[in-house]
Amino acid sequence: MPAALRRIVGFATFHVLRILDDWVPLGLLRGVLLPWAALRGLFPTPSLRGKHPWPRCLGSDPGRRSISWRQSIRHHMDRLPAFLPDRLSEPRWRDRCEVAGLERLEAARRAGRPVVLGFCHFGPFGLIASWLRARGYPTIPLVAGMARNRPYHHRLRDRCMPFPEVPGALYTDQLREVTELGSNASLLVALDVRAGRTVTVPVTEGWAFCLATGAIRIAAQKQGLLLPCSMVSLGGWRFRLVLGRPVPEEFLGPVPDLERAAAHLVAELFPFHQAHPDQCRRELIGSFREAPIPASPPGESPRSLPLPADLQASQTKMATEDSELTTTSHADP
Amino acid sequence: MTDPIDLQDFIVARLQKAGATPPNSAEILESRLENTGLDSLDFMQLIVAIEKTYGVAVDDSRLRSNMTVAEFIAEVRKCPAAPTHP
Repeated sequence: MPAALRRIVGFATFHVLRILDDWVPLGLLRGVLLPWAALRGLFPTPSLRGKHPWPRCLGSDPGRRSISWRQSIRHHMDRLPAFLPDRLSEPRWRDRCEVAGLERLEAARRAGRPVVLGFCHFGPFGLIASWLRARGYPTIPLVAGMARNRPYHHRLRDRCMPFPEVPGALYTDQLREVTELGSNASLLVALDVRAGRTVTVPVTEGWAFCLATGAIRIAAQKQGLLLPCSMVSLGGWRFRLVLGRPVPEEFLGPVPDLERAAAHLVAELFPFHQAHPDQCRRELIGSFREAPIPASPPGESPRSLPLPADLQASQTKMATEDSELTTTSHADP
Repeated sequence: MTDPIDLQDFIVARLQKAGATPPNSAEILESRLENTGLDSLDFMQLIVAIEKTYGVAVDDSRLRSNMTVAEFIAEVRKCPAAPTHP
């Protein structure tokens, strides 16, 4: 799409959505927007899946054809709250996102510690910063590319975000700002990108994950807290944002233990990917590697990362709630 | 500025700590920045550390990925002192 047209579409979407949100109840707003999302869903959305082979460690392939239209519709619908960043703190929106682990951010804020949030391209990850800002925690995503190329509709959003003094995003040509960022805002960094130095850690038998180490190195340099972060779409404009257990401080010393920190992050995030394989995006799918099973001492089972008990519990809870929400999801198209 | 030998040692030690290749100090000096196995984040963190330690203002736009570590050090030596705020 030409830049000028993209600008017009961005401007129109931003203002029309905000006017509709002013006048229409949320349930009706969804009804009004579903035909638009259904129409958009007819066109391919490469960011959803890409051409990577399906990593079998995530379970059976959810398939390209059977659910891709539904996936696409959910994807387009889930992006829309991002146009209303100043309204997500209002009760009618606020209740739509359950946040777990916020006390970790609060403790870091009280201690004046910088926070780095590591996320994967999973679920409606683009809403993480908006929801956290709505909860009173300024968060800045680190985005690949040049700051001057920030899309027009993102600039529109930035103007009405809570904490307008905190930039809407920092780009990879603003690494100095990233390095100098203090404890006044959390930095949101992707873990499943092929940029800079990476480390490959085992996920499960025969599978490994290639993780970008930027988040770990930034957290180590700042002596900050590094939290794994996942955003799950539960359907019907309901979300769950989970801030997992922080990476142990001993892995974030002056010379960070990249492998052990990466293993911790993957162990915290992988259960979400397994529970919702249909929400794994192109970048995440492309980060899994088929790897030879590591040799294990005689009498021991093959090496794999232990999944923390509390996450297994949360995974079960999510699966249960998902099945409860299936009716809503089916109703989407 | 502080003793230039200190600066060189400081930079080489930081690069080694970050996992630069080759690990040998003399060889690192001849390596191009892009061949050290480090990325832009490593170098930005290095620059910020240099600025904090030596009180200089490094203009990172003058640094090129195809310059050697020795050239990088020479470039840093030319940097003016950072302005001090009252």
